[in-house]
Amino acid sequence: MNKIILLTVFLCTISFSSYADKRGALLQVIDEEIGEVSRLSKQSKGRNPRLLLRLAELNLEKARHLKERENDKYLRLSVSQKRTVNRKKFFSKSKAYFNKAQSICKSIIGKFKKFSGKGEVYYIMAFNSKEFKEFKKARQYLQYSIKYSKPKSKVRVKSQSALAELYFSDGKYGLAAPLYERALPYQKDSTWWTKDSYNLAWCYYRKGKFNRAIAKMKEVYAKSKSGKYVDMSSKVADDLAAFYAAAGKPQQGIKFYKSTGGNITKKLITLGKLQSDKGQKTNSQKTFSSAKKTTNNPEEILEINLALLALYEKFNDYSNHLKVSKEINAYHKVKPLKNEDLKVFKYQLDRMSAFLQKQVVSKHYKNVKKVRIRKAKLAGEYFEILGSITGKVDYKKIFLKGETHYSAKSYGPALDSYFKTLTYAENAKDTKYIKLSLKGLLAVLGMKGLSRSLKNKHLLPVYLRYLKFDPKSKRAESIYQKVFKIYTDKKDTKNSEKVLYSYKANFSGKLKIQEAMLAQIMEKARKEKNVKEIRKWVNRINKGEFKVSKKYADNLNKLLLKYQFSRVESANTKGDKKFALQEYFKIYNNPKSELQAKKNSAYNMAVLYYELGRPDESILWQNKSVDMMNGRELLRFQSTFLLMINSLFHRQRFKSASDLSYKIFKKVCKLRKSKKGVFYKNAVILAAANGETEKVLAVADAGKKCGIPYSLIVNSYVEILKMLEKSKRWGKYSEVLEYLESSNKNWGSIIKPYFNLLRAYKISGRKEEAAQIRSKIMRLYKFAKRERQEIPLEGLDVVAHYKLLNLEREIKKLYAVKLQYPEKRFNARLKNKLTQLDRVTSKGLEILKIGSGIGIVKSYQYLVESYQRVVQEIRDFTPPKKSKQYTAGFKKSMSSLTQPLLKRSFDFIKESKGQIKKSQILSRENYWFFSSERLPIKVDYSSRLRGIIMDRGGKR
Amino acid sequence: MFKLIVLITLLIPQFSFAGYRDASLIFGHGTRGNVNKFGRMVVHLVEAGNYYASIPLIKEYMTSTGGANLTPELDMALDEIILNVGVRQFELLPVEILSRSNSPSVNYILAKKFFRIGKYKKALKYIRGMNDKHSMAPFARLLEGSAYSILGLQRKSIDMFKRCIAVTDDSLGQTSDKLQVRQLLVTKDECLIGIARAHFAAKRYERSNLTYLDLPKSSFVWPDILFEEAWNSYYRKNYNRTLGKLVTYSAPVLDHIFNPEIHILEALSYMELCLYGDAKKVVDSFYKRYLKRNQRIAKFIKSNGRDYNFYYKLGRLATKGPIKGNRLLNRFMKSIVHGATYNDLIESLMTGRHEFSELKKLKRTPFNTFLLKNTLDSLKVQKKLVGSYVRRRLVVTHLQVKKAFQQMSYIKLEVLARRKADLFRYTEEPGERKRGDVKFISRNEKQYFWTFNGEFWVDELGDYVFALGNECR
Repeated sequence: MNKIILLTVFLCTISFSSYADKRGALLQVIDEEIGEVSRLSKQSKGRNPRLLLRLAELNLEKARHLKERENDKYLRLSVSQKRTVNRKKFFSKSKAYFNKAQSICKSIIGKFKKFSGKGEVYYIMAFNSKEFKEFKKARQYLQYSIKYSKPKSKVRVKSQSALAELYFSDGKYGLAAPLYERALPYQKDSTWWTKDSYNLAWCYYRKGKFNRAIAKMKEVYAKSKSGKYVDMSSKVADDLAAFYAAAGKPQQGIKFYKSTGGNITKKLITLGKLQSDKGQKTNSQKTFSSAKKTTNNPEEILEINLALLALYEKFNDYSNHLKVSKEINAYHKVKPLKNEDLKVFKYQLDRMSAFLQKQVVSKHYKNVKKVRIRKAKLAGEYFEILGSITGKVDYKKIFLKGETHYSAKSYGPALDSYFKTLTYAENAKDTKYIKLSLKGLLAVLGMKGLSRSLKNKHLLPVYLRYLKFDPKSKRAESIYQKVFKIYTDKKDTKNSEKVLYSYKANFSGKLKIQEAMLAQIMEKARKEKNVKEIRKWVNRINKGEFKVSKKYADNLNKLLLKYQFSRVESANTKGDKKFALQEYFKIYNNPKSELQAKKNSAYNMAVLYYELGRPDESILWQNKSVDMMNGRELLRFQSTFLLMINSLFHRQRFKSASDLSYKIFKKVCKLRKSKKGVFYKNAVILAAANGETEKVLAVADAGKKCGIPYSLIVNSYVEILKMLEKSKRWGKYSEVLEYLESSNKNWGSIIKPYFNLLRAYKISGRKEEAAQIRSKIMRLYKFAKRERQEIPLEGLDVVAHYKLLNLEREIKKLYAVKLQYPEKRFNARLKNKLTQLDRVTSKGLEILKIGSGIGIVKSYQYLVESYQRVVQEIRDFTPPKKSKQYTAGFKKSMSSLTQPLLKRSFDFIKESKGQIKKSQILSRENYWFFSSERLPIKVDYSSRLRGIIMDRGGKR
Repeated sequence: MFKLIVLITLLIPQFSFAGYRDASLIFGHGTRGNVNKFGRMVVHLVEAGNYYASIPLIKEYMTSTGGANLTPELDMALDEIILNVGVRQFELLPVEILSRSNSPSVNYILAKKFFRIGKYKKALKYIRGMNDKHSMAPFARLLEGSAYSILGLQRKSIDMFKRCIAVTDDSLGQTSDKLQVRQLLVTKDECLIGIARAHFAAKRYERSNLTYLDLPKSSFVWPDILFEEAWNSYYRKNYNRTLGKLVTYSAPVLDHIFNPEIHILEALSYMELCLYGDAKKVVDSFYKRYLKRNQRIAKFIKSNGRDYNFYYKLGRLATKGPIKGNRLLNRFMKSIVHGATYNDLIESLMTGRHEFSELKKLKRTPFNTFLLKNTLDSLKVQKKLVGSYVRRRLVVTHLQVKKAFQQMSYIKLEVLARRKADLFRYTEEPGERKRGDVKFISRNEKQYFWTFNGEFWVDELGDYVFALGNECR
């Protein structure tokens, strides 16, 4: 066998090679011809159009051979080479010669207007144009060629044929036919006569001249057999059937084929097919029927049946189509169809089933249910055939059957088909079709028109099969819920729980659904008041086995608590506090009790004991509940706790109150809640009240870390300073002051504490530090004053104190100026004195501006005393050794001087009194203004109302 | 392909002093004389054998007589002149002038004139009535036969040629003049060829061939006619014989023959035998040998214009030996100067010169001077006629070669076309060529079979035959 192939290849090569050689030789000859004609033409100096024409012909001839060679080469290229090759370049050689021929022809036409061979020139030009695919031009040139060539000349005949062929290929049969008619009589010797006549016959056929067409075809057939012409007989035999069919003369056709001795059946099949193509269904059917009668050959019968399928398909004759399909299928089961036939058969089945299916789905049959069901049934039958055509059950086709029935709302058969598909697909492990069939089943089961009994029968099993197949999809998610509902409706808790577990396993993130399922299970337990069951689920939730929303978890806990506390609360509301306390205690002590329950119990017991006025027990349970509660819970019960702690404070349980406050503050410290500030303040105050400096410091330090507002912290430290001052812990005092000083906002507030520290340093002999602090005090004051900070009165007093010391120094200077005579000295000293008094006045008034009560009173006092003393000294001075008159005059003039000074001192007194009252100044020096007598001791305070002086804690 | 060779009969003049004296008397004492007297003077001068001296006088007389016809006496004198100097001197005269004469010779000239321009019937009109006894009759019959042949009247033509042969034979019996004898012999051969040609024209190729074979190899025209025989063989599809005839031209003895058609026929014969390679070879060789040379000849002719003296001198030079420079020109010239016409013209010129020298020997009188001048004029015309002839032949041959190129090209194209057709028809290679096989030779009873051994023998010339197999399929 291999040898034979090799030999064939070898022969082909030889043949091809010899042909190529021949072409090479031909080209060589043509080249020589071109050379010779060119030589000739040159001799006539290009004035001989005949020679030019010949040159054009030769160029054309060469171009054609080159083109053939190029085509051969091109065909031998691989696909990739063909893709990359530049076609223009590849065919450039032949193109060049075509162009040359064309240009020569054009030159002939241009130069030799009266050239008798113009027809031939145009013929070449037409040929070239055809080559360039310029058919319009080619037609035009051929027309010219016909016009300029002599009647009956070879060129005219050739042009007529060529033009006819162009028209023929353009489908212009009306134009082609007369040209063929004119040319053919002069082509009787041409071997191509048959081919052209064949075309003419087709022209007749296309123009409806069937009899002429048939006659011409017969003529072609007869001549083809003569051997002189191109043999068109097989084509004629093929086509003539169509002509007979068109002429409505099938019997004549049959007669013809009988006469030609061909296979009548085959031709009849051809004829039948052509009739089918012509849309002659009945004729075609009859022809096929006749064809069947002419043969017993099963293969021919099969061919006829396949042709009939095509016919019925074309005319939508479903019943006959199905009938023939069944016939073919029966044949196929006995003797399998050949691959090609099987393809055709399958195509028909596919097409028909698809077509019917489309019809079933279309709106057109929406309101004609019977028709739609009938079509679905037909489609189903096609799918059945298709499903069994390969020998095995093709569940894919069964599935399509199901789909069609589904579309026709024929749910019973649809369900059957889907189930069948599912079973086969499961066996074949074809996930795609398992999924599709399941979807189909679900869709059917979801239909309203499906009977309840069917639905009830199939729904749950389908769901469960689906979940088994596809447990994680979105659809599965919904199915889980549906299955869950079915089980819960059936009150099948066990299966409900299973579904829940399964759902949880596949959709762990879908908490809401899980919660909803859980809720339904819990609801059932709730309704049944099955505390055990509830506790079981609550435990699972609390262990994190089920993740539920916090709200739901709280609700569950509440529910559980509710069940636990329901009796206690009812007793409590009835005033049976003892019973309530006992029950709370039981809950608290019960090891099974939830932490929440224990918390609640402890808290409620604390509250109950508080209500019962038993602070110590209340303290115990408050502490327990506080220990168990977290910060948030404590904040929730803030008011109650504050109330209870307040009560403890009032009941002198300072330490407990302070401890509780501190404990609570520590728990709420880290929470980002503003309410914690209250606990902070409470802790500081209660600790301070209890004198627990360290605790206060600890609270304050914690406060700094917990984000307690700075102002509260500052206030706390101010309190702490007082406590530290009291306990004389100057080291710590100094640290706290430094902390406070670190913010200049506090500078106004720390003047007095610094003064305290200064005093401590003075006492301890650390004068330098004291001096530094003094100057710091004045710096702090100046800054606070400038920044308009609120400076505590104590601070102002400190500043006034130092200013008063300055004032006192000025007053001393005032007093130091002694009045002496002679007059000039007197006048100078008096002037000095009055100037100094002025300085004292301005200093005094400065102190007034500080706003310190002590400073104001003392300053006024110093001013009054200074003025009055100066008045007194002037009044008391008598010029020595002066006449009375002089003295009287001196006194008088002095009197006019002292009078305003005295008046000014009285004004100061008046002003100071008004200021003391207005500003409610409490000063040791107040007595000086209000007492009519000058006492030897200073009375610190005088009050018109009676009052008790107490310490900060309310202690005496 | 066929050409008509017209021969001119020349007679050597016999000087007569009586005629000279009478003419001198008529001439009188003037320096030029009266034109009216020229007629009578001519008659006497012809008597005296002063033909060249008479030519200008008779020409002038004929043109100045105001349309009157010549007297019979003068006609006879004119006949005599033409017979002795040839027709060419008078061919230049217009028809109406010539028509004034009733001379058979002038009629012959007129017939020739009309023949040359293709008016054969008119030509026939002038010579049909010529008496067979007239000295110009052989030439007239030849012309007549040729005219009939061209007119397609082959039977009449053959009869006329046969009559021509008879008339020529009579004339040959009446003269012993060497030149005239030669001219008559040539005319006779031409008439014989005429018969062969007429048969040929009537497509009786075998008869034609046999007639050709009647022409003896010794004939002056035989070398030229060999070519016609070759054509005949060609038409009889005896290509081997054609090639054999043509190969004769390669013989050194015939190297003065130059006819491009020889090569054309050779190529054609090879082509017909489908020996395309050989045919192509002939064509290509022809082109190679002659193309450039012929082009140079064209330039040569153009550059020398109508300087007939130059061509006269060229002719004379060629007679003495080969012309250097252009081998083709040399061949042309050799062919021309070997031709009968050229030789007739030269011999006529020689006669004129002889006449001139005889006149010169006489006492120098005004009449004598007048005649010397007239003779000299005529000689000058004769020389120009020679020069013109040479030039015309050069031009004609050049054009023949030029045309031959075209024909060669067409032959080559035909060869190529046939090769192409073969390529389309056959795929297998042709078998080995078998050349020179005796079986391809066909002979008739007049031919002998000679084996060609590369040498030419005079008695074998024209009888060679090739033995090539026809390779056509």
